[in-house]
Amino acid sequence: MICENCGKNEANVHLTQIINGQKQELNICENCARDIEGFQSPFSFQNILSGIMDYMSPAVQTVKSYEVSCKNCGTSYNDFKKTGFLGCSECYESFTPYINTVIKRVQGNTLHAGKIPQKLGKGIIERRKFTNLKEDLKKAIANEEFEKAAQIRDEIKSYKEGEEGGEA
Amino acid sequence: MKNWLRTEENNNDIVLSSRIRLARNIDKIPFPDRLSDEKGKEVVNMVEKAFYTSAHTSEAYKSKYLWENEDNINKSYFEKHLISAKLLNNHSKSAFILDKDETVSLMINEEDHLRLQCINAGFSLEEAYEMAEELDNLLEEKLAYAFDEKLGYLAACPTNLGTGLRASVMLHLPALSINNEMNSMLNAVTQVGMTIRGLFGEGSKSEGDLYQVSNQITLGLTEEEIINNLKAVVSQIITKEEWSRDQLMKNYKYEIEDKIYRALGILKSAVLLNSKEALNLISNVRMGIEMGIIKDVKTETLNSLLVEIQPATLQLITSSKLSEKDRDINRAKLIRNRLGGNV
Repeated sequence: MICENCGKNEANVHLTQIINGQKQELNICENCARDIEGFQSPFSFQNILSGIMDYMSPAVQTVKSYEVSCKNCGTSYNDFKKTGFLGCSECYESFTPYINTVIKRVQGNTLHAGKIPQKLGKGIIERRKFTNLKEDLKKAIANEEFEKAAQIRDEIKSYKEGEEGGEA
Repeated sequence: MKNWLRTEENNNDIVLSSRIRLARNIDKIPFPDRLSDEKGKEVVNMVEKAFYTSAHTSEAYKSKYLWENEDNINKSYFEKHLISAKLLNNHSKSAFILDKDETVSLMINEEDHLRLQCINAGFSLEEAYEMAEELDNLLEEKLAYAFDEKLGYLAACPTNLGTGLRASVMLHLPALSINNEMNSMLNAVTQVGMTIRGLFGEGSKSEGDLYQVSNQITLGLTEEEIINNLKAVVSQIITKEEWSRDQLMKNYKYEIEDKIYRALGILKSAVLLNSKEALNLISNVRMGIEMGIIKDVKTETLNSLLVEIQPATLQLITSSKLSEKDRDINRAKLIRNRLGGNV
């Protein structure tokens, strides 16, 4: 494959960048990659990761990735970049656009397929059901399917009652 | 589950042990590296409260606090594979909960708040996973785990996200090592998302032809898939090792027998042995047992020697602080003793 930037050399760096939620993939050569600020040869894993992060940060206009820090534990994104470790479970939330790139790099996947904790998981499944019902209701109303909407409304109602009953 | 160091059973000679490790964290509490000693000990307390909820767990398990122990005692736990190097490093705030058979170890304040480890003798990943899952469910009753619908169990390092599961199998691969096939093996294994490490896991060099094969990817696969993939890879490695051993015996019968008997001879009569040499000789003898050449030594004896000859455990056995040279003397003596050699 030829470098998509200079169109001369063989592309040997695959770059995935997410800018304001838009995913863009580039295949470029080592020379062009080096021109991008933050990239340094040799290509260690850490360098590649840091490079990608540096490259994408100017494009994200409102927030500078360096200065983002976790509200819960105070770990800054820069700390994570340096060590590869997050500070607490909330960091994943605090650093979401940035961290997803990293996860995809490291794991190749971004969606959990394994075990769901029994107690916590119950809430997740129920919540998912509840959100789906509410969306269905909106759709039904928009489509003027009032009979269906009434049905869904009843379902939501009984669901809420069930929840309150459960808490009592 | 059976302790791999003591088991007499040998359902598969090439595989020494199967290990399952689950990484879990408590929601919102900063990860151990960002906790003071005091806060870390609070986490230890929380986990103990969640764990010791029945007569059974209080009876069968015991907590060990690293901050209370002498260096050598903690290091000896590491040499027994009961705790990790990272837990040892965090000794001012780390602890672990151990069962009587020393097959289950629940490490607290490692890289993550919880590292639940089950090691079972032989090639038996399912049994180890069942045990780990049971304890995981018990803990979850009382602890608010950090869990995300999309990312699964949240961990301090993104490499452990998702299932938080690291499954690994310890293998004895002398024939593949002799044939210089370990590098190509490493390449092949890496391509299918697995990795090979040495006797003491992450960052350790291979000694005594012992290798640990484990999964690298933890997110996007189910626990069952991870375990099945690893089983498939390990089965292939076993087949290759067996084939290499057959080839060696076909082409170099006398050389191999000589190597094995010499190793046993040295172990039975040497006066000084450093741990590297000892591990290599033990590997040769083990190969001899596994190939049916040596019949009067038990693999069980060799397994316990693997731990006993390590520096900290050796000093605990002899109950004295030893210089390096004294260690070599005592190590040789211990081995002669165990193998019924010159006293």
